[in-house]
Amino acid sequence: MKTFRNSIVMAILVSFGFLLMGSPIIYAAEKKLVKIGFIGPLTGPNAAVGLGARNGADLAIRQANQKGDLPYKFELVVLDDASDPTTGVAAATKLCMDPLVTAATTHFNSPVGLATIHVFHRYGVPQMFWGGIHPDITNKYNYPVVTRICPNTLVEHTKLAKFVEEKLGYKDWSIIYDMTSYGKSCFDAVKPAVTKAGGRILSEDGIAVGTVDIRPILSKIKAMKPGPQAIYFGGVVTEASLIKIQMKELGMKNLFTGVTGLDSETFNATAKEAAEGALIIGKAHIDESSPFVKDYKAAGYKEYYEATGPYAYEAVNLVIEAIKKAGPEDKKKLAKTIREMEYHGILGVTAFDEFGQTLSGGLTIKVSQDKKWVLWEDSEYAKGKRVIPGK
Amino acid sequence: MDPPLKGNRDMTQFIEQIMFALMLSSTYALIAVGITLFFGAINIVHFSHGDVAMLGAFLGIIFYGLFGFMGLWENIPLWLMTMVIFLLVFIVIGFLGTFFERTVIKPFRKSPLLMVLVATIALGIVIRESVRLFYPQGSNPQVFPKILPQVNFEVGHLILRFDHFIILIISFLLIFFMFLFINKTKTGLAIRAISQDIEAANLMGINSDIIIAITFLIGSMLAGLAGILIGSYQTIVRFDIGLMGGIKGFSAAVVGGLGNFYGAIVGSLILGFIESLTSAYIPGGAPYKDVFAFIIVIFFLVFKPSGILGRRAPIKI
Repeated sequence: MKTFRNSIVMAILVSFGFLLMGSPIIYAAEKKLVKIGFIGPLTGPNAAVGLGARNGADLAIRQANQKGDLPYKFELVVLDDASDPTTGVAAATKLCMDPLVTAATTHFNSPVGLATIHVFHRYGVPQMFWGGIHPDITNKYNYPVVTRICPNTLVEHTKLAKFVEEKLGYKDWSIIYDMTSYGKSCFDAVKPAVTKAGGRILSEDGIAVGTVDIRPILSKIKAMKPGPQAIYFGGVVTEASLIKIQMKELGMKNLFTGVTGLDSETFNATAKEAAEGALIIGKAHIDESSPFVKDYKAAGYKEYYEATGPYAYEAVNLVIEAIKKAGPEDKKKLAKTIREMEYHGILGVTAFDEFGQTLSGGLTIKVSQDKKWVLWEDSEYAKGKRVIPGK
Repeated sequence: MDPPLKGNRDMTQFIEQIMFALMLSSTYALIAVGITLFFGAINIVHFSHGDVAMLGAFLGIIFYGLFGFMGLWENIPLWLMTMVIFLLVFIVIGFLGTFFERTVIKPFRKSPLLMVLVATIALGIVIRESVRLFYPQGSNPQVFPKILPQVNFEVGHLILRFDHFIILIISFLLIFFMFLFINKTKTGLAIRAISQDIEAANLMGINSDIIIAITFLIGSMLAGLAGILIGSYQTIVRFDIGLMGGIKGFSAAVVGGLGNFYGAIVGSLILGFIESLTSAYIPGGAPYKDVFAFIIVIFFLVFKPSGILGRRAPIKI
């Protein structure tokens, strides 16, 4: 008796399984399969941001298939670069060898990207970066297949210089930067940005990694005549909060400013009251109640979407949008279409310059208000209730 | 626009820079004195001394937080709490230091110098990484509580901070008492006797084990307080501040003459002033301040290994 019941259960399960298996087969038979590649660090030190990006890309693919308004069935091909250029090149080659892969969205680490752009260029497969901030990725070779939807350091600093000089009217800057490769790349980007917007750089000081006493430099800046209105720091949070604390100690009332390297609440938690009035270029602001976050949560991913998730999501959506216009067959045409597109998505408007670099990338302007980063538009500084330092 | 100038801006900057150089020197001196003490007593270079100081700073934060948790801050005046924190850190770090000596340094007393050197470097790594791993969010910089009065004097553009003066004065007193202890007490005499000839001292009835333990107790207490003072001055501390602090302290001791008390202070002043004034007055000099500082150290190691006030050439390590 028992075996009979078991066999019935088995039969039901098997037929149910066929049903499940069968439906996509029938579905796919009507639609052409289009693969979109994804390469990011899924293992190693940057695995968290890589997985967040992978999920973002996956969500975009799922939504496109669910919508089903295109005659294609999309599939995401996920490969790992482990933040390592060699692994990245191997993954890129593997993607490009697959004729069904029409485009790829790639890389968190600039060194990996600088290595793989040549592969994608050789095979003529459109490659869109959702991470990696080094200007050379887009600007050095300017391969027609390469585009980037996240801002690079040049874009960040151009936005900062424009805001500080045009909106706040501050022309005189002092530059401090740390001697890491990130700090140096900020330093290389801030100089042309400031002068291009019509400003002047009064002093440049590099600080060695691990320096905790920045007072001698600050005291020198304080004594300058005329002194700067803005003090810029190229680096990350620890030194930034030290500078802001020590500026307060010395009674300096200059504007303290920086870019996305400082966009972490650790800055406010460390500098406490001294943080007030610091102004930075921040990463994209993704509202907790936005459709992206809701859909992401509903999809049930284990990992948090991180800063990279929205960018990878946007990149895949942009590629799908381009495929809608140009079709998946002609990759050259597809690359050209991507570069000419003006896409409205969760990062605002994305359009590319002559190097395939986005000029917006969802960047925001944030100001430290009551020990928190607040969007400039929402802050009391913008409303005139508080006065931004440096006046 | 600028407020009306009271006094000269350049003069203001100069006074500020001198003050910063003095502060930096005092933080180096507190560590250098400990290193020189250990070297003088038992001929070892304690490379993790800076990390012991870092541990002192973290203990300071922990005790401060603990008192806050117990709700003691509302009822008891600041100066008393500060004293209690100083005392607690003094005791805990003193015993920790002695414990380190018993476990890491003593087993190598009869071994070649190189082995103690490696052992103390390894100890430093263990201390650093333990703080990083076990302290909540230990990789991040931690805000050091304001346990010293936050009062400013403003003279024109010059802002002098009361807490900085306190740090300077405490550093000076600590080093002064240390000096008295070594030179005027019987235990100090025993430490000096051991440093000259440990076997002869043993024959004279000095229990070298206990005396060495006392040396480490005192040296580590000093490091613990140094940690609190450095934390108060820098306002934030991180698990790795002891690394550079230890190397700078050691360098200061070398420049002044390893094993010599005055030497440690003179060496610290030289390093502190070179670093501060390089950042301030050499255009684009800030990134090179450590380069200049260590060129001086190399210069002394090559041409005058006994340092400015050293009484003998240190054994090559």
